[in-house]
Amino acid sequence: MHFDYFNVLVFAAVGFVFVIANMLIGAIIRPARKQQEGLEVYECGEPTIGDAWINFDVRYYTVALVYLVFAVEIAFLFPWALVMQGALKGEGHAAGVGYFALVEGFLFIAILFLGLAYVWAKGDLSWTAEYQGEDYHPQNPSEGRAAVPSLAELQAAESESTEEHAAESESDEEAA
Amino acid sequence: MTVPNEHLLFLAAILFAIGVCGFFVRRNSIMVLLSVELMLNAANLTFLAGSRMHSTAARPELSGPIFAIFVILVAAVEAGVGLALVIALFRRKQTVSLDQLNELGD
Amino acid sequence: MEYWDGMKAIAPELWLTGFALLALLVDLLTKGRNSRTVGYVTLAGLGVTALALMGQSERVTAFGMVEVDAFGRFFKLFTLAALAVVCVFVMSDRRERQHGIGEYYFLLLGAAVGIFFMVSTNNLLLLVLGLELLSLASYSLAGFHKGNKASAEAALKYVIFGGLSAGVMIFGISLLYGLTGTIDLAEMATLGGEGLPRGLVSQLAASPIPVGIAVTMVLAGFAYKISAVPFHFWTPDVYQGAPTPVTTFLAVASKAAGFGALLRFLGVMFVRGDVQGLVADYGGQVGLLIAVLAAITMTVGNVSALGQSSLKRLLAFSSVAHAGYLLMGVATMNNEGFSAALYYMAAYYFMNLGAFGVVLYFEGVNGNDHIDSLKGLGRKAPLVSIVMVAFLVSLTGLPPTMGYYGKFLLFTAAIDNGMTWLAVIAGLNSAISLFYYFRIAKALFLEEPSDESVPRTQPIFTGMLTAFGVCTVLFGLYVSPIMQWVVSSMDLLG
Repeated sequence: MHFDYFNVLVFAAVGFVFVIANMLIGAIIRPARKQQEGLEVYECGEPTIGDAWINFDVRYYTVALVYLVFAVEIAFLFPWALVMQGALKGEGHAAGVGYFALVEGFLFIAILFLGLAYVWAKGDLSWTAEYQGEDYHPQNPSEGRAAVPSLAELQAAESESTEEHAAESESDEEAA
Repeated sequence: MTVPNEHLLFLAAILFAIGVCGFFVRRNSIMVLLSVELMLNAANLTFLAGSRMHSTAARPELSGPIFAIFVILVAAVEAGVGLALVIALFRRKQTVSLDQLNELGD
Repeated sequence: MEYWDGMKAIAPELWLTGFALLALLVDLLTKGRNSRTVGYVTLAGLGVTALALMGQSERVTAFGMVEVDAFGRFFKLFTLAALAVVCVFVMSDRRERQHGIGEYYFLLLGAAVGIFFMVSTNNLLLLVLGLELLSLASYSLAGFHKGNKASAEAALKYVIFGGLSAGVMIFGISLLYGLTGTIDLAEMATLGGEGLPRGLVSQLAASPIPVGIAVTMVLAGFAYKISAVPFHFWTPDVYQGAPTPVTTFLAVASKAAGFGALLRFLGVMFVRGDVQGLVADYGGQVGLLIAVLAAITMTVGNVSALGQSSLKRLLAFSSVAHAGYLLMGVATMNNEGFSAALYYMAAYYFMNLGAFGVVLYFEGVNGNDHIDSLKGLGRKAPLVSIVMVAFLVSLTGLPPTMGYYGKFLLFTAAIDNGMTWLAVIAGLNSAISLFYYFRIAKALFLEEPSDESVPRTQPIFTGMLTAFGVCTVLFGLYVSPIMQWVVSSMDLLG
């Protein structure tokens, strides 16, 4: 039986070797040019703005919490759906439960939907809703993480970076 | 080749112990809630181990796995309520540390 | 058609669920503007459920999980009566009206559904689900005033301690399941046999220590709900920080539900006629454990209450102490003690609902719950103050009140079962409690008021409090109606 554990060991070893070998090969054959662009975060070719460590908007958490609960409720529907066919035909583990279970399952979903409708009607799902609470003030903004930029700031940063790129390309042409 | 039931129970006991230690040692309320999740998952593992011990081919013992599904639900909902309250408190006090909970008392 | 019979058996729970959803819908449709309507819907739901409960008389088991019996009915009616009063508290509390509070009623009804299932099941899964439903609703209720730091903090503390005790309890249940192979208490309590779950009894002989650990862990979950030491730390903070109607709910309905479930758990596992001979020794040991817990709980509660300046905190520690007195009845592990605990629960209903109602009234008058701010209110609001004194006398356990007779029953039960030491400790504790209850009465009547303002009166609210005061005294003198109800409800161990 120890052979089975040996499989695990081999699997782990192959995994480690694969990753390290690839990184080594890459390090050997790629050209090593230290430039500002090379050190930046690769974000699908888009120039990055600001820090990755930002506070997400608190409204995101509301949606996340609602999602969390609904996602887990679905766990009950898998066993239900599995035995449903047998239950309706009168076979298997759930024989004799029949339409009662069908109705009950749909009732369960209906109550879940009522919850969803409630959240929706209360405006917790609409992202553009105005935040009603107090203003958010971190204790020490200078020590804390970077603030989320506003749309105006984003546009300003964008136009700046395009100007820079334009300037760079001009200087490249001059060098050529 | 199967994992013996004792291993499952040992793992569950270790998870539970880590959960209890984390609960008492950690001061960050998120980590404390995580420790509680760990304890509940230890219980889940014990339920599944128990189900395996008591099942026979003729009579599968399913109340353990069913209990485990419900415990998963309980854990998720408790985490949901807990995190919602953490956010509500964070909006007022700008902290999630349990040491800073000092509004109440004489 | 057995499913329809089952549905009929759990009709009260279904009504309650239906009305909870209806309350949510009404709140949606009125857009939270008219929360009073939701309050009336809730009261109607409680009434309909009570009628459905009264209609049940036969003893059945629905879906192999829900035990419909008189014992469960006692706690269900208790819960409904407590919730009705809490609803009136919410509706007459002027500060509550500012919030959009449709969810308040929905959460209260949801908690009631949890209590209903929790006190009427031998199935540990349903017990845990009921307990969690009650807990989750309580957490949200405790933190209902989102803008209030104290409320949010109280709720967070409640969640964190609740999470711990739920984790410990569920782990204990998983151990019990591993030991016996069933999650049904009645099956656990049998000897087991060929093709059946193994039964706790055979496990007791083979591995007593794991069984002891598992049972103790499960008891932790109950200890949290009834706020017994060492799971009482949340009690003062949550009682103080939560909105006062919610505090009332936690102190009365939630605690009674914890006791209901605890009595059923112990009764079915260790005390019922068909198992008593098999586990008599073990049941006695569990009883001893509970007796020690009871002694510690009442002492800690009473001693901590002495130095409190907040009325809600004081009543919180008082409720810890009362959990200790009630545990005294549980510790006897027989019919006499359990009935005494049930009677004391009924007494607790009147005196504690009344006391918290008075606190709510004084909070409305003073804007805070400090004992110092009660000075001289005996002259300004004589009726409420006199009623408060009746509640305090009953809480101390002096005649002629329900609290006195309840304590008399509990002490007798303890002494009859060879726990004289526990009765002595409880007697000393009652003497200690006199000091802090008397402080309230002294502030009300023997001290000069700080100003001359006259509090507004709320006729319905004051009338209700007076009725509670009268009941506290009346049923203390004329005990047979409540006693008969209690005796007819003790069909658990039969």
